Amino acid sequence: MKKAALRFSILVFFVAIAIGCTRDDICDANTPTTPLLIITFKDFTNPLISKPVRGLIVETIGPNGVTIINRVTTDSIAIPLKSSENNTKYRFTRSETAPNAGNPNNDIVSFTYETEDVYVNRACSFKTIFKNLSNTIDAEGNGSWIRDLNILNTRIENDLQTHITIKH
Amino acid sequence: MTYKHTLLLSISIVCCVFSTFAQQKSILDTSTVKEKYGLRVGVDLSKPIRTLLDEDYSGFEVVADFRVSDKFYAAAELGTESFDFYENNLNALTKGSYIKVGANYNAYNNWIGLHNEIFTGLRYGFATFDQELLAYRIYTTDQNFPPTVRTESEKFDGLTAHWLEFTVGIKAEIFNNLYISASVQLKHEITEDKPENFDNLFVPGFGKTYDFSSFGVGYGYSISYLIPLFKK
Repeated sequence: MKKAALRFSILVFFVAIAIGCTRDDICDANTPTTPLLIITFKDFTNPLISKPVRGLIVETIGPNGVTIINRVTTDSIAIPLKSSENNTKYRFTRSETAPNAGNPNNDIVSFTYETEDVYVNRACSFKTIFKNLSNTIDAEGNGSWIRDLNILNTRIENDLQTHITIKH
Repeated sequence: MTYKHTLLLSISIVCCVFSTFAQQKSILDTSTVKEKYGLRVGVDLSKPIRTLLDEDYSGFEVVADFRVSDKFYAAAELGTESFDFYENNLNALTKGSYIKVGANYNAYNNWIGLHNEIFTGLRYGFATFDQELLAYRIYTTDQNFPPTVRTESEKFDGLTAHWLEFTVGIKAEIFNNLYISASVQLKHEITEDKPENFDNLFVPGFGKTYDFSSFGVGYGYSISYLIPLFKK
């Protein structure tokens, strides 16, 4: 019994040191945290076809406005929603146009939602999920290049699938 | 402590354990000598010291054991701890009390007249505590908006936790009936009340908890006095 106890004690001692030295205060980049809003762009005449926006600019409005997407031709984007407010306003600008497709055009899309904070772990702390998402579109005087905006899921819990499609 | 220091410490402690065990072959027959039995009570010194050094921590623990046979001691610890978890994204305060009950087995054969111990022990631990979530920062991979910090505090009362503890340590009688002791503990949580949409970051008596493991570790240095009750 003495020998077994001694061996066990030594084992326990090393296990204790190994555990004591484990780091868990850095949030793993693969951990799902606050989701981004995923938007895909479709052709208005045939919504089954993805249609890239030429020179898309996405920016927030106001004195502290930030440009999230700067002149990118793409058919899908991921943009953040503000956790600190129940509303995030973006100006979507189509800065380049195909021949015979109209002039540069910007629309303001205002997203309204409720926030809920969900505990992740001690390193990542909390994430926000967004519920009851709704939107309004303001054409800003020069007509709207966004022809239709569909919210596919009013609950933004992860950024694995599309939340919104925009037809243009 | 760096990895090197940790390794050195473990090697030296293991060497100490081996060298003391090596002596046990030459012991005398103690069956004719009467041994002191009694209640040993004391305090853990590591917790008041940590209270002074670590501003996020305060704690106090009373220790006691009672010799029931030649090798076995019934043992218990009773304590209170509070810990302020303060990290980049999260701040929470835990306060509560705990009790640990169990037994120690002395694996060391003393020379006549000496009362030292190398012991292993088992404990069942139970804690009751409150936790207050004070503030947190929403974690997001996005850098475009300033971080969102929420400071509405939320309190979770009446939480409990149960765990098992394995302990290894040494005891030495420095003066007549006065003992000092050092030990390390490996703990395994059995069950706990998890606050809704939060977690127990610290459990009094158990210590820091880990996200991906139900094991915990601890250490203690105590000073205790033996109240001799009878001899046999």
